[in-house]
Amino acid sequence: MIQRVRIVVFFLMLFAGIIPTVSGQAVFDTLNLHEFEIIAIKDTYQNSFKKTKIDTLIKRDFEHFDLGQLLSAFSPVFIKSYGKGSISSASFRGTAASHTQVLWNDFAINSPMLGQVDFSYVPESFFDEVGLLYGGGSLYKTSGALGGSVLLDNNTNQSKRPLLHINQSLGSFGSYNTAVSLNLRTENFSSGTRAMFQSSKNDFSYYNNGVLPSEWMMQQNASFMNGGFLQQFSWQLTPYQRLSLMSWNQWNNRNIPPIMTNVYKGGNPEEYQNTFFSRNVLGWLFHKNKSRIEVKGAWFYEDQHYYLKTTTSDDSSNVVTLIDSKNNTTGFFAKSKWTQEFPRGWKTNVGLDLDYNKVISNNYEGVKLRVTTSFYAGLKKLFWEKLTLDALVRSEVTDGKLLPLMPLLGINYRVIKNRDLYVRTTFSRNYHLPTLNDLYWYPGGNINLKPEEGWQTEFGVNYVNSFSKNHLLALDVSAYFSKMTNWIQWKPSDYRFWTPENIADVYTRGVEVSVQMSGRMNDWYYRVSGEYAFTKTTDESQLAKDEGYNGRQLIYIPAHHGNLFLYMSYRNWSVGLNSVVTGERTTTMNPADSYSNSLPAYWLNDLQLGKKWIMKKVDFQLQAKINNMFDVQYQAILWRAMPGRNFEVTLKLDLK
Amino acid sequence: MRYRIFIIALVLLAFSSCKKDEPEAVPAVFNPPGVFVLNEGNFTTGNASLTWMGFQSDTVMSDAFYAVNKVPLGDVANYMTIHNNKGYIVVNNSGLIYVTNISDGTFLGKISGLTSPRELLIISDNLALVSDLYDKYLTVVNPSTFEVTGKIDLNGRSSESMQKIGNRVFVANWSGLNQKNPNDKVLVVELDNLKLVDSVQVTKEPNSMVVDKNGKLWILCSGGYGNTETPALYRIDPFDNSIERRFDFPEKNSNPFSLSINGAGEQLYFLNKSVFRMNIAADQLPTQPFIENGENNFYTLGVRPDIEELFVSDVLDYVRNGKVLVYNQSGSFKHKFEAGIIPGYFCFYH
Repeated sequence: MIQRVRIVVFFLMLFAGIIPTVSGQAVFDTLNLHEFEIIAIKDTYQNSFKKTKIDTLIKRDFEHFDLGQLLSAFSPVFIKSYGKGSISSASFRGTAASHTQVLWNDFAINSPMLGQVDFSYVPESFFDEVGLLYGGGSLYKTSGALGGSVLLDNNTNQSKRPLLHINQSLGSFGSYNTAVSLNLRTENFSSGTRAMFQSSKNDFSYYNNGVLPSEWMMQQNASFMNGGFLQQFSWQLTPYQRLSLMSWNQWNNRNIPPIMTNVYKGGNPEEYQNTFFSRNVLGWLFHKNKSRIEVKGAWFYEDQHYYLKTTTSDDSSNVVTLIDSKNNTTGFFAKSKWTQEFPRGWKTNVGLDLDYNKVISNNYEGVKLRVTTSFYAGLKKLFWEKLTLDALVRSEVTDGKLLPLMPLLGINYRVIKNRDLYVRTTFSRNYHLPTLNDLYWYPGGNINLKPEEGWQTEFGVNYVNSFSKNHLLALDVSAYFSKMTNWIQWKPSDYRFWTPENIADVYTRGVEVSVQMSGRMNDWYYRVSGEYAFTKTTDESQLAKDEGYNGRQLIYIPAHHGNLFLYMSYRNWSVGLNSVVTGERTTTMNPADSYSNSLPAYWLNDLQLGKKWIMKKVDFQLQAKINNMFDVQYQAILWRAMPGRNFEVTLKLDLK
Repeated sequence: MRYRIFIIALVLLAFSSCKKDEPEAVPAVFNPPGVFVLNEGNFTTGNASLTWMGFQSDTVMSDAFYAVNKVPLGDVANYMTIHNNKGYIVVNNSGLIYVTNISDGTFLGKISGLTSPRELLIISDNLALVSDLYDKYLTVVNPSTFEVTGKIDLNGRSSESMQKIGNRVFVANWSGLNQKNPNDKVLVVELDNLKLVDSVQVTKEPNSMVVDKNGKLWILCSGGYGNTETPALYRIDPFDNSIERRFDFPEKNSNPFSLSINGAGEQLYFLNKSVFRMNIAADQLPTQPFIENGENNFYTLGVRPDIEELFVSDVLDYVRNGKVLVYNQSGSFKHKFEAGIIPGYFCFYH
């Protein structure tokens, strides 16, 4: 029996290793997707745009990561993080944080105020799948993703999950992380409950070379505590119909530490941010033969509270500064989409989305609304088992204003028959609406802003090969170019506050290389995967040319960024090495030799060792991890302290 | 197996160049006459810097504080003064004052634990006052030992610019943030007992003050947030605190600031988008600019005391390095040099 279980686990791992082979190809509308089905999909569909998925092995091994940590280590997306538990945002293909759309079961969780997602509030363990849609391909899901989108999905078919799963981590700096999931099912009904709790004093020591005299110090006021749960119910109404309900609720409390230069400030500063959100989705799916119809509704609610207080130095009851900022957003959303496959390789795709957002904020004058209607229709055709043509057009009306059409055209071509070598190219236009802060922030908001417009094109090659059935290699190379006009930037006005304007014309171009290799030899399994991104993002507007800063890399976007994951297991032992290199980043638009203009590159390595015990009813796994094993002192953001070497122990339990 | 080790080794090698060595300190010599330009940097970013320009050789040293000390100046450098061969640099949002050896910029000590320090007025070797944007006190410090020795209650008001006349200090209540009273007073502090004794009612937002050759106090007020009052320039008799002159600006929406005076104490200069000059004996505000701003985004102004050259900073877009434009006594452009982000204060060393 144990032998059989081992074989199953082994195959799961093997196929987990195969998942990257679908990189750049169709993982299109695959609600029932699990390990064994992927191979089939690979052969039937080829996309013209790049789409990848974080593979299951990695997802399981790093389930206590937040989404920012996960993408930083396993994708070419650059994550700008202020430290563990602090704000973390994405720069996808050299774009701004608001140009990455994060979709949870198709619904954007980007804040309508800021336009971006705080990735440290997204616990990876809450989702079955984490996928990425690069560049223009995002139009299949949403508009506005000028860089790309992150797809967080919960499968409604839960047959593969253990009854109970517990993951408990203890780490340096008083860090605790608990993730629990409970899965119950009858023939036609299933319930999945996931909960997480994470807290950390985060009081690491660091060498503060931001003050005189420089010395080792303890990080102050950086603790955080987040907790939440995600509940999903799924009913198989008929063999072809399924109803599902999901509710994601989370409470986040973080203190905000001073920057390294400000640790001697008086006035007993107290600064924190508390957030609560509830995101709920009700969905109905009809799937029969080659037809698929899905109708979903969602209600999102978020409360955010930022607080800053300083008092006189000798009397902590005598308040001298107080910022007490409260923002409340509510959203109602509806989506319907119909996918139909026809004979001779034709496939159509039609959908209608309705979004309603309401914001109450003491930074706005009055309640602000945004209503968006979006319609899209797509056509796909596979010719001679070789050539795929993709065409999509999206049309959007926001607050009564019609945006110009957003089209996408793409081609995928299988170069050699029966070999997995594909070339692809896409051309698209996309729009990103100004955020509600851009429009209504008081003071400074500018209601006359135009949407940001992006023209994008990319070219890619994807190659998959298996050697002697036991080893698999997947390679993907993409090159892209996009031109974004009316890029919004905030600049100081004559009245001392900042105001946003459609200033910049930003060009982004880059290359992404992804290599994955995995295989087995007797009791050994190995996996090597790496991502590298070269990104060049510059402002080529007339203003930039006049002022002489065209051609300079925009701030906090590294030209070079890469990661590497080496993993090996022997029977129930495993060892993994995670390596992330972040290249030099500029912090201002000054010439390169200016003071504090650039932050040096840094290289971080995490090493982990694991052992599994597989028993009849229960599996145990113990993991020990060294983060930043070479104790690198670095700054991701100028004068923000980061921890050195630290440790983590994780115990996992699966009740079958 | 062996090839895997090889791959790892290769990767390690490829990344081994990523680590940068610690920067070496660069010695500096600050020979007078010259000017220290304090660059504020961006709020909460910690990129304030110090630019030195020596007049003898017209040499510019940027990032002088960092070059010498290998530590950033901090978050929003606001003010600098020189006393007993020591430079005192007030770093507002870092809540401290760095004290350096003025001749080479090396670190001597710091005065810390301040809430939001703005300016430092040194009265004697053992007594100095620190104004504060938020705290409703002046902090009393010892400029020799760098210790905080006491506080002067300002009766619920914040403080900014300070001028000592006789044994009294005039303190401008510029900011009205988190303050119950309107910010329209100049407070008078007695040095004998270190107490607030009196105040002068002016227009809202008194932002800068100078003393002329006759010992009169000039106060420039910008009219409050959103210009609720008309900006005005005042002349005060410091002995009875009476208002001797009041000049209202013709446009309510103007934003005059950075009042300065030449070494002789006769010519006033201020910014109101452009640079304006006014003699202390004039009967009205100047109607024509002394130096047109043109394309420049003028931010602060300083007058070289010995030869009355004008130093005006242009902050461009506030995020790139600003420039300092130098004009001679007749307002003709002489030359310009690059400083850091938001050059906000000139401290002349002579």
